Amino acid sequence: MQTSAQPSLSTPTVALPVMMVAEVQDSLLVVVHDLERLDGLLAHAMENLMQRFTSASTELDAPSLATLKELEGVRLGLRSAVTELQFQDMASQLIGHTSRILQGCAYRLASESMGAEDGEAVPFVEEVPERPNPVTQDEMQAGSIELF
Amino acid sequence: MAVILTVDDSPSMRKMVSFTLIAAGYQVVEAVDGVDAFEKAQGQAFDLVLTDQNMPRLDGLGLTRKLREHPDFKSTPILMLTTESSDLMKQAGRAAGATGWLVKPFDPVRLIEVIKKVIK
Repeated sequence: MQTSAQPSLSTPTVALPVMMVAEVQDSLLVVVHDLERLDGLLAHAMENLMQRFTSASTELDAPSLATLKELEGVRLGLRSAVTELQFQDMASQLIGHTSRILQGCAYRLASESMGAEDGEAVPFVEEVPERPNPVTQDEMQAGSIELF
Repeated sequence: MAVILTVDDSPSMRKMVSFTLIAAGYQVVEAVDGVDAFEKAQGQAFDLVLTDQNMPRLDGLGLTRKLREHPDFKSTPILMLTTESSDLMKQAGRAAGATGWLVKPFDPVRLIEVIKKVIK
């Protein structure tokens, strides 16, 4: 059974079948692809949502409706929704960072376990991001404000 | 009417910020990243710059440093509006010359309050 290349004896190692490494890499890249699709779906949904939001706001500001106090609750609701409507930006950043980690893992797994054959160009290895995910929020509550 | 430059690579965020600022009576100019923002700053004075941090080409901290070196923007309020919330990043913002640090998502009422506080 062909296993992955042996690193130096000073480093603890685990021998893995090459086929298994290849399958894990494929799975990681499939997940990355699905995350990109998810990002696209969110962006498309957000685009439609923004059109409807802007349209509703504009109609509420029409001269014939502007003085109706009964609609004040609706206006307030729309203004408050601005906080939640920022979800797509945060989701996109979260997805992007997670994708880069998975992609980095996939390429690193391949390059360290399989290396390159004679004459084969060394593939570009996406570095796993060192910085933690910039999105730490768990809820869509307004964030802090600090003036220096 | 005060003019605000809002900088974010996310189209939805730019729309949300612009919607909030215009409803409060401000005039808004949008930029898609730090490079675009700095180019727009060459041709126009702004009363405030509201910028995201993580953007391609030139991020928010880089834009802040460049604007602070520009004679027309030495004292212009620059507010960071970003998902980044770590003390390390806030310290970097302060060192770069930012006026304040707002963590996303923003509340439109509180955003306008802080803008009124910093725009003289």
